[in-house]
Amino acid sequence: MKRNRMFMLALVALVLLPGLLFAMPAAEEKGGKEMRLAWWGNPTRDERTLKAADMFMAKYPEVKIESETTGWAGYWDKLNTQAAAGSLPDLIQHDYAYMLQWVTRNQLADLTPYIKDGTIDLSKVNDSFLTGGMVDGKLYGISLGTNAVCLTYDPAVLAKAGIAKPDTATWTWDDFERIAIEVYRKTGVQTIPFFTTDPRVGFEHLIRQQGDVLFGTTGLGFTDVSALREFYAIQLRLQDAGALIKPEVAFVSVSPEEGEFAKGRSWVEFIWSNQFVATQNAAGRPLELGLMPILKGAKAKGTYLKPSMFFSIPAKAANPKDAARFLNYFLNDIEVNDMLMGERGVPIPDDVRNHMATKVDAINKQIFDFISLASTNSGPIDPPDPPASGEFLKMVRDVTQEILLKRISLDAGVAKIMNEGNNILK
Amino acid sequence: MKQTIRPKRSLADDIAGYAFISPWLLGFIAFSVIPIFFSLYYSFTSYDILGSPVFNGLDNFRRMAHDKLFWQSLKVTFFYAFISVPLRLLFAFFVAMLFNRGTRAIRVYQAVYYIPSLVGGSIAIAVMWRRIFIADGVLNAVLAKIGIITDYSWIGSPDTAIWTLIILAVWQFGSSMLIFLAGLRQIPTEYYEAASIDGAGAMRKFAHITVPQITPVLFFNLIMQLISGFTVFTQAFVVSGGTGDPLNSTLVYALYLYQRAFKYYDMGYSSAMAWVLVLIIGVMTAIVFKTSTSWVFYESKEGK
Amino acid sequence: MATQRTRHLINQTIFHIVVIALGYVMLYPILWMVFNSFKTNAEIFNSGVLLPSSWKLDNFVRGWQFNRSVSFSVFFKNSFYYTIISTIGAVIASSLVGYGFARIPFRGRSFWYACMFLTIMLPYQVVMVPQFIIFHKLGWVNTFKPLIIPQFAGVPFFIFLMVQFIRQIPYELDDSAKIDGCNRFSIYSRIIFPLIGPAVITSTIFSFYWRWDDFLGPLLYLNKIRLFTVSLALRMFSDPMTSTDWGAIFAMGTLSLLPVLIIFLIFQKHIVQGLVTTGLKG
Repeated sequence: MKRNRMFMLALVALVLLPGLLFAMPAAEEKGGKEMRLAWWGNPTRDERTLKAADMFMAKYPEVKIESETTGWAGYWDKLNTQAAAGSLPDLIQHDYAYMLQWVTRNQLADLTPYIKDGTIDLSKVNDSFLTGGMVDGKLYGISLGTNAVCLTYDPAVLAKAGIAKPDTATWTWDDFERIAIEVYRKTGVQTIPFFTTDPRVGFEHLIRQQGDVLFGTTGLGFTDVSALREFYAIQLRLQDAGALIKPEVAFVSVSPEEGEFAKGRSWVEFIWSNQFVATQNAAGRPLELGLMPILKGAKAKGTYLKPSMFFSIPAKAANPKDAARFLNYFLNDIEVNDMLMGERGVPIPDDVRNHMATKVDAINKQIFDFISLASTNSGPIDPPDPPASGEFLKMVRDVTQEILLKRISLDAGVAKIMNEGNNILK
Repeated sequence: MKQTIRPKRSLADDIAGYAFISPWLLGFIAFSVIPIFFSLYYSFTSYDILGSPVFNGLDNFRRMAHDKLFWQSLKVTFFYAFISVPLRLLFAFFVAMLFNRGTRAIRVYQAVYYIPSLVGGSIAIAVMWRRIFIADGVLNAVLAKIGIITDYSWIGSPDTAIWTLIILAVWQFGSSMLIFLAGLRQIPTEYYEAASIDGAGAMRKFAHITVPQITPVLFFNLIMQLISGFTVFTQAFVVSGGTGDPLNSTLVYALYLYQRAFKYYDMGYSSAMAWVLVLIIGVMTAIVFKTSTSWVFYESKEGK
Repeated sequence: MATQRTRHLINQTIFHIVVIALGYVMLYPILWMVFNSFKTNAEIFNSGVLLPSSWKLDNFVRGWQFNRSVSFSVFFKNSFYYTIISTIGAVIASSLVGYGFARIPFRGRSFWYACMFLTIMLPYQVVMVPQFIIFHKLGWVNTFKPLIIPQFAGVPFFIFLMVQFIRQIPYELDDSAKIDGCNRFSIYSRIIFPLIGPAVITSTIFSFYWRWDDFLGPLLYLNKIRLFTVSLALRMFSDPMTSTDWGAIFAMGTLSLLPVLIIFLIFQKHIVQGLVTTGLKG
């Protein structure tokens, strides 16, 4: 009977398949040499990093690099899951804010042995660039560049509105507000809400100018809410004047290409300086780069220089050796840095940086100039974030939307951030 | 009657029976019973998977009472389930009534209407769904074509974001429709003929024959779909980008539970949340069962 | 008579117009995605026309390459591997268990059968966390084991379906086989299994669908890109903050629907039957 034979076949399959099941992962592990690389990014960074991996593999064909990339928002969720499962990639892009948490959870490997055995060459790197990745004298991450918070704007729109380019080293929020309203009145181009992905970056800048820090040891590091209040008050005033892009649109996460700024609906965008390359690519028109405005009566500098991002090797990485080799290549190789063009920030080895300075591609010159402007206008960096910062930042983003959507009043919103913030962080 | 003729239960039967159900039985113990007990235990502990669970009594449940996101996720989920499930069943029933006639084209129509149910659970559709309702998306483009020009962000506004998920659910009414259609076709035509002889109109026939005959099917579907409505995850995860954005208006219960477990490593708390979900589903099912006697029509026992 | 016929004709026409119009609205999102996979990125968001101006396959080529280090051929291979092995396991195990429940009067049968029904009602979220912890401790994360092995225990829905079918088979067949000297297992394999073909086919199809679309399971257990299923890869591909190549995303989305649609076209009749049986006989 045909049916019968089919059944026997199925039965044989049932017996054999579990064997296959156990055989498959083994076969996969045998491949051995793959090096898993993960970063958060944007289309420009993804493109260049993938190319860097290709170049490395062309040079060292015995290494196979597997790339994983997501946007900032999903990146840490994914990494946390992998950490719990003990399956972190071999080389991960890391951020200053989360460094300490990861080190205290014993998730990252000390890179000193790789420097000692010469796999990673730091001879051209000034020690001051390394401190951001150090915890208790051990090096857990190597900075890929220097970064500062900045503001980029469309000079063509300002010209159309008949407004002179501002001197961003000295301008205040009053100037900013005046320009925003003027631009809207003359051209109809609006202003995007400040730092929609992570509003913290914006108001931290203001709080620092008060002479305070955002995070204290047990709770928020400030009690004077005037700067925090001002951060929202400015946006609400712009909104009342019709000059602010609708929060319903602005808070939907999209790639830079699809953002309101790239589409020419906002004259300004708030970014980190290393995002300038991607923002510029997405916009496809000349942009200016400047410092964030100053708060009236500022006591300190809001801007600070930050290691843009790190490469770190997890403590339980399966292939740390190749990860270290790639890290070294990525850091020191002139050829690959010619292609990367400082997309992750101004490079830290002297020779690479000097070489880059001679390249003076227009966009990079802007970033170099901005970083030197920022370095004379910045204060020291604050300590890394406390462990509960993730929940705090989510709450802040929610409250920001509530305020801008006028679901709660400005005062109630500020009070909510203070109360819930202290509660979460205690 | 057959039962009495069969020999009494024998040891051989027991052995054979347990041998045959052993795959399920082992799986049931390993993948349901043991995890259930662990889950119950974890729900009274604080556990971050890296350390070991620490007993903390009812702390997780107490925390829930003050957790705004917990209440928000409950609100979102109730809204989602209680709007989408009835709407989907209603649609399905309406279309099934429409299709319950002898046109040859019905077969094709049936297939076309079923396709959304077929592909609706896939990531591809969820990804696309986001692009439909975004401010620069298809919906606004189509609206512009018929003269309504708007840049409203359906995904970005907390008032409408959940509706995109509800529409996604209702859009998949096809499978319920097929079930109803089969149910309608099983109603003996003699009932209608007899009613016609008695002079009943279309409305009376609908109210006194069609609806009572279909209620058992409706009842079963209501329970099953409420359960799946309360546990919806994938669509909300993909459409909101994993966050429950905007303003937690798409933060469904299962998504919040997932975040608690795999974003914050709050295994104890998320286990406690899972048990609250069991309680909710249990109560819902009980209510549907209890009230069903008043609205579900069962054929009289002698009928069979 | 003539008027009645015209009235009927008008009725019919209205019916077809309404049904076709509604059907178009329902299929529009899918058609939009499918047609977009042939358009350039500029055309996708700037033209209001559904049909592409020319049928180009560039999107498929670009999408398939994914990110150069891993291509969609890996993801499709993973999805097929996971789907097919799970389905074979689920269907065969379910038919065995179904036979046990339907035909053998062992002690505790109704108790276990009731337990099985309760698991249908049990939300996955309850066992999600402890299962993850258990599989994590077993070192099974980043393998397909946590996804496939539970399927080999049978799936309650399919077991129920099999029981329904087996109960319709007359006992006389079993009895005559017993007289011929068949034991329980050969009754199952020679008599029963061949006769529950429709239930087997229905279960196979539905198992294929559910596994193919499964997202939460792979999301929890597969963290290495080389192990990603098509669903996971699509989700990573379309990350809102980094994705711009919508043509390629839609192309891969379209491809991901193909296996499901092809099976639907071939087995349409069985699907309807399966839905009706599981849906009706609560």
